[in-house]
This record gives sequence, structure tokens and C-alpha cells, in this order.
Amino acid sequence: MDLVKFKTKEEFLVEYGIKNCIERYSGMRSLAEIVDTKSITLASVKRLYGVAFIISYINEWIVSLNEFVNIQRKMSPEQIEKTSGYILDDFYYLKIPDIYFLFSEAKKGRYGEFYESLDGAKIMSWFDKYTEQRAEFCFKEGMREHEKTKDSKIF
Amino acid sequence: MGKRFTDISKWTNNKWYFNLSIESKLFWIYLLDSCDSVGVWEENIKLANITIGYTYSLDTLLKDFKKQIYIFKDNRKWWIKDFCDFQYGILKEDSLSKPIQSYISLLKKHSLWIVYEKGIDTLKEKEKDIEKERVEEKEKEQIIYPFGDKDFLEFWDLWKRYKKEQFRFVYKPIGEQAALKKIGEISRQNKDIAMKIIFQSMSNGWQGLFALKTDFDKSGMYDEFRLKNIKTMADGLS
Repeated sequence: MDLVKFKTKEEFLVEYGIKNCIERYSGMRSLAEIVDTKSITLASVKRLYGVAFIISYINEWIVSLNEFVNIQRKMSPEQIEKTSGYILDDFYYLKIPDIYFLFSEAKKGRYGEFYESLDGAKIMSWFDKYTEQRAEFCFKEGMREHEKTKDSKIF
Repeated sequence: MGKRFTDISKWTNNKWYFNLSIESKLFWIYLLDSCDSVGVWEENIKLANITIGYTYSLDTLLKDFKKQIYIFKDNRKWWIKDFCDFQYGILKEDSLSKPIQSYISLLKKHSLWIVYEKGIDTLKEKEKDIEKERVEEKEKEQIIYPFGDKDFLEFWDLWKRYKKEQFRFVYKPIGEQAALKKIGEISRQNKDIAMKIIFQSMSNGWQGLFALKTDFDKSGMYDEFRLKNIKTMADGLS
């Protein structure tokens, strides 16, 4: 269920353009903060504005990563476009803050060395890692909530 | 009764022989049978006319056989140039074979040995050149360029001239094809980047082609792509 509704693409871009995301989420350093943030999923953006829109949006994130890193072999526009498609296919449930957090962790080198190149497979492996961590976090949070509820029952 | 080898494929595979008139074809066979063991025929058209049963014109025969025969300076003898090679293979003076030595002696007697040797070397060199040219032409035809664009082809020619001037290096077809493949790969099949790569190497005095250096690369690699993304996202905005 979408926690935030947008009427127009303009509103979306004002809210979630890359620069705005960096400004808005730069204070967040943990998964807990990211997961708790109310936002829109990639699937919802696709539903609202079409697949071309969301692919172009993800493209911009990948381009910003390529421009940030100092490597010999950057990704071509075709590779970027394909990778965006795969991200949308496999990780449609992620929200915009998740995308921000993943790419900022990658820029900080938290997913390992680039070794002079960047490609789709590398990026997809980061997404796998991130979603694993996210799932584990959500599971633990769920267990914690469950324990709280259990303890508060009165017979 | 003497016997000689004959080329049975002359009827179908030899364009020159195929195009001869029936009379000239017959004369050629007469010539091959009548010459001596090194291919020299003492010119006697009158005898040939009687033997064959046809009146030949000397001019016509000289015209038909001009490439195949060597006319002695006194015009009294004709030498069938390829006769020895066909009948015996290439004659070598150091051969221990008595028949070969006898043929060489006869050629020397006709004062043809020097002509024979010169002809063989020239022929060999000529054949080598022709073969080399043929192979090079074939390889050149087969060169595949990553971009057929006129601008790129001009840049590539410039690169080849630069290599020749600066390093006295000339690409062989295989080497050129490999270099073209490399530039296609490192430019990621982008013609503009390929031309920038060539320019980068020439301006830095490099011998080889290398991926664009990062600071060069920052100057707009994604500009077009970003513009496309922005247009897509902006589509429909008021």
C-alpha cells in the first residue's frame, strides 16, 4: 500500500529528484531509519507514471554513481538502461529511500572495491546484499514486535 | 619414337588456348611436338603448312603465340618459354641428373641459359608479387571497420599516417583488423569516443590506442543519455 500519493510527475520529481533525495536522506545512516521512512515503491512509480519514467529515473541514479567513481571502465548508456530494467524487475518493492541508501553505501565503498570497472552484475549483487540485510532487519524487527505483544497479554 | 608430357587441361582450363582458332590450336600442338628437347623450334612455316595441311600466316601465329614464345634475334628460331618447366620442372645447374645436365647444355648451346635463368627468377618474383598482392587485396577487402562513417575512416587514416611518420610502423591487414577491433571495444562502439581515443593517443605521442583517461571522459560521456532521461521524465509536465 502506498503511504504517499502523488498526482503529477512534477510533484514526484520535486520530492524525489536525486538532489532532493540527497538533501532529505543524507542524515540517515541506518537501515532502521530508511525502512521506517514513509515513501513510494518503484512498482508504484511505474504504475503511476509508466515504465519509461521509472527506468529513466533509475538510470539517473546509476549515471550519478558512474560520474562519482573514478574508474577506467564506466558503464555505457545501454548497459545502464538494461541494469535499470533488471532492478525494476527484481526489486520493484524497494522504496526510493532504499535506492538512495544503497547507492550512497556503494559510493562510500561499503560493498567493496570497484577494481577499475562498474557493470550491471556488480550493481545487481549490491541490490541482493542490500535486500538480504533489509529482510533480516525486518524479520528481527518483526520478532521484536511479536515478543512485545506476547508479553503484554493478560489472562 | 619420342614421347612428351601434354597438358590435358589445356582444352578447358586454359583461357588462352581455349580462345585460339582451330588452326592455331593445331599449330601449337605441332610446335610442341616438333621443337627440340628444350623447346626450340627452327622456324619453318612452309614445312609446317605441308605437314599440317593448312597455310598459316606468320603474322597471325606470332600474334597468337607472342606470350608463349621467345623469338631469337635472327628470327630463325622460336623458343617455347615454359617448355622445360612443364616437361622437366625447374632446371638447376647443380643437379646431378644427366638428362637435366643435357638440357642445360642444350640451352647454353642455344644461348638461352641466361634467358632461362632470368625468366625463372623474374617469373618467380613476379608470381610472388602477384600472390602477395592478391593476399593483401583479399585481406584488405575483408577488413571490417567498427564504424563505416566517413569521419571515422578519415580519422583512422590519420592514425595510420601518424604511426608511419612517428614510429615507421605500417599495419599489416591482420594487425590493422586487431587494432580496429580493439578501438571498437574500448570505445564501447561509440564513434565519437573512438575518434577521441585516436586524438588522445596522437596528442600524447602514444604508440597504441587506450581507453580515454577519466578527466577526458568526464567531458560529456553521459550528456546525451541524461538529456534523454530528463526528456522522458519531463514528458507530459506542464
